[in-house]
Amino acid sequence: MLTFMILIMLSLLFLGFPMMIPLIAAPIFVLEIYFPGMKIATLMQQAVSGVRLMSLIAIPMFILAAGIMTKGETANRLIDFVLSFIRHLRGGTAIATSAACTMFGSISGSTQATVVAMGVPLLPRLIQAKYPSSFAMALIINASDIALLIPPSIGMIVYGVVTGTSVGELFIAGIGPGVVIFILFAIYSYYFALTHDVTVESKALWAERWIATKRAFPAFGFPVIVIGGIYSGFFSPTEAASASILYALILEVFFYRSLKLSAIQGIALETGVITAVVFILIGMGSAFSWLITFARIPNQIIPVILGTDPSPMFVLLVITMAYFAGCMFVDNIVVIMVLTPILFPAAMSAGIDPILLGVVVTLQAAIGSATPPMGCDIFTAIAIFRRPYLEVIRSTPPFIFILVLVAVLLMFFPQMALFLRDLAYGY
Amino acid sequence: MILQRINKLIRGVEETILSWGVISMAVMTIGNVLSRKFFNHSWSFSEEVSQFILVIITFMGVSYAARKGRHIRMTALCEMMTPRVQKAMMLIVALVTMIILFYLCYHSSLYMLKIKAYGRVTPALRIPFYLVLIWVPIGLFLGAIQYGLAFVKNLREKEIWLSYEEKSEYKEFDTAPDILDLSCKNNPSDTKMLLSQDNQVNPGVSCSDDDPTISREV
Repeated sequence: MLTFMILIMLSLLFLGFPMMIPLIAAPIFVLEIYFPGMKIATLMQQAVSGVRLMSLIAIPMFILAAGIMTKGETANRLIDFVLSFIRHLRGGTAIATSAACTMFGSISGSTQATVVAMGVPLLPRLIQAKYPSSFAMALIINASDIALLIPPSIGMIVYGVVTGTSVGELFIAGIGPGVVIFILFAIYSYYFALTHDVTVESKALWAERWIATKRAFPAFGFPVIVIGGIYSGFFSPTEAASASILYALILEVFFYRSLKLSAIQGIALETGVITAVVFILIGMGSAFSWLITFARIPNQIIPVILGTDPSPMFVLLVITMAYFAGCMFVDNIVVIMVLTPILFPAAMSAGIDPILLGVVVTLQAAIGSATPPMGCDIFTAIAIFRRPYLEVIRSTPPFIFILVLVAVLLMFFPQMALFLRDLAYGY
Repeated sequence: MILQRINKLIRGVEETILSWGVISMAVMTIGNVLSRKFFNHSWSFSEEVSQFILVIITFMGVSYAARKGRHIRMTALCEMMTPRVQKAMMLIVALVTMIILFYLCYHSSLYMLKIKAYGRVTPALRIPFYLVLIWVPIGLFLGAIQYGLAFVKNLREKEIWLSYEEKSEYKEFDTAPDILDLSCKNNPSDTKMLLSQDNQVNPGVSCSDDDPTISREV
């Protein structure tokens, strides 16, 4: 049965079917063949209840908030602020790109939105400073990964919903690894600037910095709402999402006057499409997860992969590799929906902290979104920069190496993720 | 032609549902937060309505995303093939996807009718629950039709079509030039350089959050 399922999924996937089809076709065939008494309607029931969850409402809300800010001015003001402070350093433009992506991560919950919001204004700037275009694009798509770890994060919301872990705790735990990745990217950018002939931009005067800070200042309200609000218990993640929409609207429409209210409908349509594309995967994925549990598949797989009494470190290693391999080929929401119900019980019985696991999974999802062959950020970059695939991916290996290094570090030093959580929630 | 007008009408309905669905969900959650934090009173219907809108957006979006070729696919293998094989794969994908969506549509209608027969109502607003579920078969049905149309289009035309409305090759992202124009307003030379690159867009893969249509207002 298991081989049959895997066979169906892989062949449909490689034939180029929309990913919702392999996700739902495998359960359909398994039910029709192995459990003829079961109704297919059960799958649809699972799909509907899978998307009808209160905590998932945060996803479209965060997408909408990020959309408003990308279309408005907040994104550009953040970039100007970062550049005014660090552009004169060696590799400053590149470091500023990582920093801007990290800061935009506190507004946006997805890597692709960050690629669009940060990449579009920053790529010309990097090229002007004589960075090779493939380095510049690799930097943008990989630095955008940080956005998935810095709260809010769509990957963490999905993981939290699938496993029943606290999304707030996951959000807080993502900050540590996100900042570590930023620092390593900054070091690599500095090294790159040392070994390549890139322009160092002129130092900004304090007057310019002051103006840029003033202009960007309202944007710092977002981390206050999202991180501060959740940290203090004032907001649930969904409430924080709706508060950031309200704040974004007030900023862009009334304060900056960069958006007309009529523009909101277009942003909402785009948000609706993105939401639908993600949620159909969550829905079909819930049907899939239900079948996995129903057919007791973890009991069949886990002993084969992990043996009878695996050490936590070994379990964590296997899980990391499974998500890494999965995310290389398939969209990360699909991977979370498919692998988590199989591997989560094993991780729990090995005594792994569910929050740590969530951060590990999110980090792999982030790596996967910028890793060839099928990283969605790569395709976003191709679409918006209109550069060939090979040029976009040519300079990614060093970045992927850094990300994998962080994944390994996270295994040995889980405190990187957990110390903020422990601090915030008093464990 | 009458069919094309119907198609256009349905697209309008889908767009309205998606955009106003998101807007009303936002209004509802924002209103609920304000009301709870300032008046210590939460709107009991807010969560319920938002959840229903989520269901409606998800399944009506199946059709709209199919129409726009936005569903996430893995095209890595597909693109290594010759155009003839690609075309054949596209035909198989469209046809089988249509069949599976029709099949799911049939079974979700059964589920919907069962719930209707039970007379289940929602807890806060006491709306019949089947009024929410009815959007599931509708969306899947319209989605199946989109894949059927894509199949027909691919049979008829020589090129590869991602959907009835979106061609696979040389896909123009309507707003991409706007994005580039604005992004390069500081240094026009880069604009030319970026635009002069061959437009090798990879339209086969559209990502969940792939968002090239959000452009900036200058």
